Amino acid sequence: MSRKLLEHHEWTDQLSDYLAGELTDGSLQKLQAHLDGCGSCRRVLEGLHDVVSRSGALGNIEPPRDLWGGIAAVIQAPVTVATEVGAKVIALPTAGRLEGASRSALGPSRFTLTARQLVAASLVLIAASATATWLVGPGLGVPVTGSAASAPGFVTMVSEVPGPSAGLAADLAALEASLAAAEGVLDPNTLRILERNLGVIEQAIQDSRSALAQDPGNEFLTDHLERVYQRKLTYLRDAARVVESAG
Amino acid sequence: MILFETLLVAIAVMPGPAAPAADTLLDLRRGDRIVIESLDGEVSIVAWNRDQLEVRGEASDQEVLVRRVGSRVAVMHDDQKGRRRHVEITLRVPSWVDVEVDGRSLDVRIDGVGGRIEVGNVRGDVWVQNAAGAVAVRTMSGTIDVVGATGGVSASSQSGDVTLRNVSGPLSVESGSGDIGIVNARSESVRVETLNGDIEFSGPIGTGDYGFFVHDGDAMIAIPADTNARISVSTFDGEFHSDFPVLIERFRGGREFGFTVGTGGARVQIQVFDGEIRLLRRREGG
Repeated sequence: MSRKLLEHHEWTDQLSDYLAGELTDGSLQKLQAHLDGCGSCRRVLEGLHDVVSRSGALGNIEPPRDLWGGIAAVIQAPVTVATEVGAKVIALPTAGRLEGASRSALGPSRFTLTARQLVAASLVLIAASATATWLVGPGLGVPVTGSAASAPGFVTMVSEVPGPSAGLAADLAALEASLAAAEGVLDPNTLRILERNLGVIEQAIQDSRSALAQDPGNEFLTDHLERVYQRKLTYLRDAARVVESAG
Repeated sequence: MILFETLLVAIAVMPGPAAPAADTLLDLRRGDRIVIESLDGEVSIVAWNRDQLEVRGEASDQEVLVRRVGSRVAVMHDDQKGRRRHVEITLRVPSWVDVEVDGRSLDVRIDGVGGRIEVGNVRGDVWVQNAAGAVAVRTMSGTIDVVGATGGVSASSQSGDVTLRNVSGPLSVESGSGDIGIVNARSESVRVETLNGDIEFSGPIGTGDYGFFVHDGDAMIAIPADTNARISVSTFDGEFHSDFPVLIERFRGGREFGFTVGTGGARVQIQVFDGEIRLLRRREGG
């Protein structure tokens, strides 16, 4: 797909201006005629339109100047593995690396991509929604937690990390309270086991929340954190049964 | 009409080698359920070819009781203050009977039971072999070993390793901070989860759902070369190694992708927060 798209760079290079309404009448007619007969370029246009639509939700937030640098870092692994391979090791980039690559500089708010960048942007939208969310997702516009004050023209990359749902939080609180109240009932060995196991779960929750703080909007991390919360609920229920049987 | 039958049998359990006393034998009927409760120490439950329960072993000081209430046959220590007693006993039971164990600090060994097996424990190891019915084991601290179970296994240890070998039926396995090993499993429904530990799975993949979830540890999944499955892989900070050709088809994020092995069919989900994922071709008999 990429090779075919790149053969049409003459046309795809104009798509940003097309979406911005900045093509001359002559160029506009020629591009529209080409788009009518070229499915590849239409798909690139749809991808770019999606990028622009999602970025529009950000209002005046300015993307970093080195957008392409961040995208290239992200798609390095997908490009490597997008062909049939055997016995490969795929080192996947971490959120920390993405963050560092994208925060280095900030630039103008004009959203312009060349054909090659369009292909990359399309790939990123499809292949790296976490990164796309970092770039254009709703979390960006919500500076909540205590990071340094932003200088003019800088974007503060912070967002809230979700906790358990209200119902789950209530269940967890009730079970934790009952477990705390049972300290006098349980023998020291059992109590130590329960506390140690709970510590493992709490550490997993902390790890997951820290990861989400780095990579807000990451669906995997959101699902993972929810699963750990559920795990904690199951564990506390088991612990409550232990307390009950000991009482 | 409801029949309510109560039978209380006091057993001065005998030392192992000695012949069982007459009152250690209790006739059982189809539908009866053996329940072990309020005992600490070691309990072995072995199936035999008689429709009777036999109890042999040693108790620390007082008697072990066998109490029948309806179809429920409890093997227990009857302490007015609820104190448990340390025992080392062996039960022989009909192969068809259901067995339930409620322990606090109890090592449990069950062999050849064909009914449903349910074990709840706080600490202690659980070992189950040749089970034909569903097996459900939960322990806070202790290892779980299941060898040869055909009715499915649900196993959870908060801080111990869980090992299943030669098992079939639905499998649901959890550990808080232990490793999970599943060798030669034949199942259409597999869910395996550990927070701090490794997962090793080896077995054929059918057409069902297979999920492997690790927080901090590695997942090594060995499946036959002719597997047909749609595989999704997710990690926050890790590596993916594959013996199978990988043609990425689906992305959910920068570290989430999916591909198809063979013609698809089964759904395999592998999620590791921090650790390696290894998808291996399973060797014959492995």
